[in-house]
Amino acid sequence: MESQEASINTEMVLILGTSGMLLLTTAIVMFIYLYQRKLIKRKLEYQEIEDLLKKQELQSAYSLIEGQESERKRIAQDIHDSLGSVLVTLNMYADTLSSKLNSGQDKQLTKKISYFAKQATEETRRISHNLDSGMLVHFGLKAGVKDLVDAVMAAKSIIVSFHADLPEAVNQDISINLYRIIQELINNTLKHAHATKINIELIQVNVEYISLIYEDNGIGFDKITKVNGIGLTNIASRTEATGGVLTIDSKKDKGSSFIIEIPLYGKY
Amino acid sequence: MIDFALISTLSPVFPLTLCTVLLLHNKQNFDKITWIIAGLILCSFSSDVFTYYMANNMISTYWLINLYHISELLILGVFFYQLIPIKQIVLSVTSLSFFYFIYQLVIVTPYYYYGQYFAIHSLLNISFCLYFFYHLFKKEDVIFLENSTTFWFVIGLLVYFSGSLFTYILSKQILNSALPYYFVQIANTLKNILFGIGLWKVKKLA
Repeated sequence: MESQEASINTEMVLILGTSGMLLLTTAIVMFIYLYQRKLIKRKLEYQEIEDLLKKQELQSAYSLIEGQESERKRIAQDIHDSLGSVLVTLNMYADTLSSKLNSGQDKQLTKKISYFAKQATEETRRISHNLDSGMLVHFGLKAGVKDLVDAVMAAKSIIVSFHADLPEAVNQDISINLYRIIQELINNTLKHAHATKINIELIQVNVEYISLIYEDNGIGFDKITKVNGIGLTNIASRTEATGGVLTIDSKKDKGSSFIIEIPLYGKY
Repeated sequence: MIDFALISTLSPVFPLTLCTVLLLHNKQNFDKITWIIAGLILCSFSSDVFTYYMANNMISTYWLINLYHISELLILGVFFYQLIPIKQIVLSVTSLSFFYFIYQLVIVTPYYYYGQYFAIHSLLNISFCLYFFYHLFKKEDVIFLENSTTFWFVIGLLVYFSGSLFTYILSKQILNSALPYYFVQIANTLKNILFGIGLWKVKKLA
C-alpha cells in the first residue's frame, strides 16, 4: 500500500515536473520570439521615421534649389530688361552726341562714354546670362556648358578643355543641375584652386546615365575638412536631387577630380 | 495503446530524409552546425533502432544507452562550442563531464543506468541553450528568428532536455516500478520534429 502511494507520488512529480519544464521552455521561447518581434517592429518604426526625416530634408533642399533657380531667373530678367536697356540707350545717346560734336576733345570724351557704356552692356549681358543660363534652356546642356567654358576662357587665364558626348535632348532638370554643378566647380577652381587647366567631360554611358568628369590641376583640398563647405554641399545636394552619385578625389598639390554619375531614367 | 517507443525510434526518419535531400541537391547549404545536428540525428536514430530491437528481445540496453550518451555529450560539446561565445566554459564542462563519465563506465560498470548523471548533463545543456537565447537576444542581429535554422535546432534540444530531465532525476524509481518512461520518448519525437523544421529552413534558404 505504502509502496503504491510512493509510486503514485513519484509519478505525480514526474508528470508535473516534466510538464512544468516543457511549459517553462515554451514560455521562454515564446518570450524571446515575441520580444524580438517587438524590437524589430520598433526598429522598423525608427527606420521609417528616419527615412521620412531624410525625405523631408531632401524636399527642403529641392525647394531651396528651385527657389534659387527662380530667383536667379527673376534677377537675370530684371538686369537684362531694365539695366541692359538703360545702358543701350546711354550708348545710343553717346554715339549720337559724338556725331554731333565738333570739338575733338569732347568727341574723344563721348567716344569713351560710348565705349564704357558698351562694356557695361556686355558685362550686364554676361551676368544676366550666367544667372539665367538662357543658352542652356534654348540650345541644351552641351551648348550651355560650351558657352560657359568660352566665357571663362575669355575672361581668365586658364585653359579649359571640354568634351561632350550627349544624347539630343537631356531632361531639363538634369541639364540645369549639371550646368549649375559645373558652374560651381569652375567657380571653386577659379577662387581657390590656383589651377592652370580644367578638363570637363560630359558623356552618356550606355543609355542609362550621364557621367560628368571634372578635373583641375590646382592645389587640391582636404576632403575631410572642406567637404562640408557651401559650394560642395550645393554640388552634393544637386547630385542627390537627380538621384546621382558623387565621387570626390583630391590630394594636396595634386589637383582635384569630381565624378558625377546621374541616371537618365529614375534614381540609382 | 500508443507505442511511444516506436514513434520515438522512427521520428528521426523525417529529419534524416531532409538531410539526404539536402545533401543530394544543396550540399553547399550544409554548414558546420547542420553537419553536427545531422550527425546527432544519425547517432540517435541508430542507437534508438538498436535499443528498440534489443529491448524487444529482452537484451540489456544500458551499455548502448551509455554509449549514445557519450556520443551525444561530445557532439553537443562541439555544437555549443561552435555556437556560443563562452567557448572555454563549454570546453571545460564537456571535458570534465566526458572524463567523469568514462571513469564511471570503465571503473564502475557500463551495465548501469546513470540517470543522475544524465540529469546533470541535461541541466548543463539546458543552460547552454538558454545562454544561446540570451546571446541572440543581446545581439539583436537576427531579424526573423523563425527563419534561423540554429534557432530551431536549439529549441529542439531545449525541449528534449527539459522533457527528459525529470525522467532522468527519477530514473531509479521509474526503473524499479512500472512508472512511464514515455516522457523521454515524447521529448525525443518533438526534438526530431523541431530538427526537421530547422532542416526545412535550410532547404528553403537554398
